[in-house]
Amino acid sequence: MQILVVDDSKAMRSIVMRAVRQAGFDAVAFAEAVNGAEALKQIRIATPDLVLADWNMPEMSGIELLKALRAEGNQVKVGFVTSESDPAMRDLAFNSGALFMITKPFTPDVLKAAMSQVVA
Amino acid sequence: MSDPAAGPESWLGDLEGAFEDIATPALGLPGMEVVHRHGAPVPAHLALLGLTGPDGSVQIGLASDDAGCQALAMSLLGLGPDEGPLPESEAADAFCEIVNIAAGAFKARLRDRTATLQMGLPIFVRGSVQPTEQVSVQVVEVRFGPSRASLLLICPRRLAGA
Repeated sequence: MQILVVDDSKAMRSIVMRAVRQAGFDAVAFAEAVNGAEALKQIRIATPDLVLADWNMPEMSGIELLKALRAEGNQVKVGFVTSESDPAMRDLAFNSGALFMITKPFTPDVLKAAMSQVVA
Repeated sequence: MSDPAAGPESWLGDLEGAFEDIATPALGLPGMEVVHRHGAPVPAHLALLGLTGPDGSVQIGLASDDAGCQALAMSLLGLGPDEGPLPESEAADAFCEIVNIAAGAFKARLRDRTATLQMGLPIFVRGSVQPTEQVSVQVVEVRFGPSRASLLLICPRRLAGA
């Protein structure tokens, strides 16, 4: 399984990747992007099985990334891992096609519960 | 909980609560202890993040010395004391991410009492933030385990008490 982790913080990308492994998803290859624009470029070249994206990032936010993907007809699975928990943002995420939205800080169990719904 | 009519300068308790909220789940520490309220800004490593609402913006911050910055960054990353020190850029990045996570908790605490705040991106600086005629700086000295740090709430005075 290929997962693209999108976050402007190297620390958070590291935490997310570790949590995925701790959640029991061992056979995962990770790719990383520092913002939505870089992620969009990578996804256009090779679509991963899942995108785990932050919301607030420079240049292109997570929700802008999701909207851009859907506008291009790309239906890659996207989940947000963000410090945001606003209900209106949550609604926007799901209405735009996100499969889950996890609020930081999170545990591997929370990530496992969310990911198990969308990936094998 | 702050009085909603008192304005952003009354949000200091919410800021304390936000960092308390994340001390264990994000940093793996037993909690956060308030050492002294009404502290003064001192030169330090600072991570700052702005939150903007319809009436203006406030900034929240976390400040500590080099050792505290390293210790808190390593706590976020789940690293033991033997696994450091982190390169300066990585410590700064992780220190900023702590503030980013706390900002989410801070915003959630204010959700029912304020208009929606838009979170900005954290920045890392070395120095101190000084109050001016236009800007108030509230400082709470805290302790995360053995690490001393300060929480900062920076408000335009035109918002204060609005």
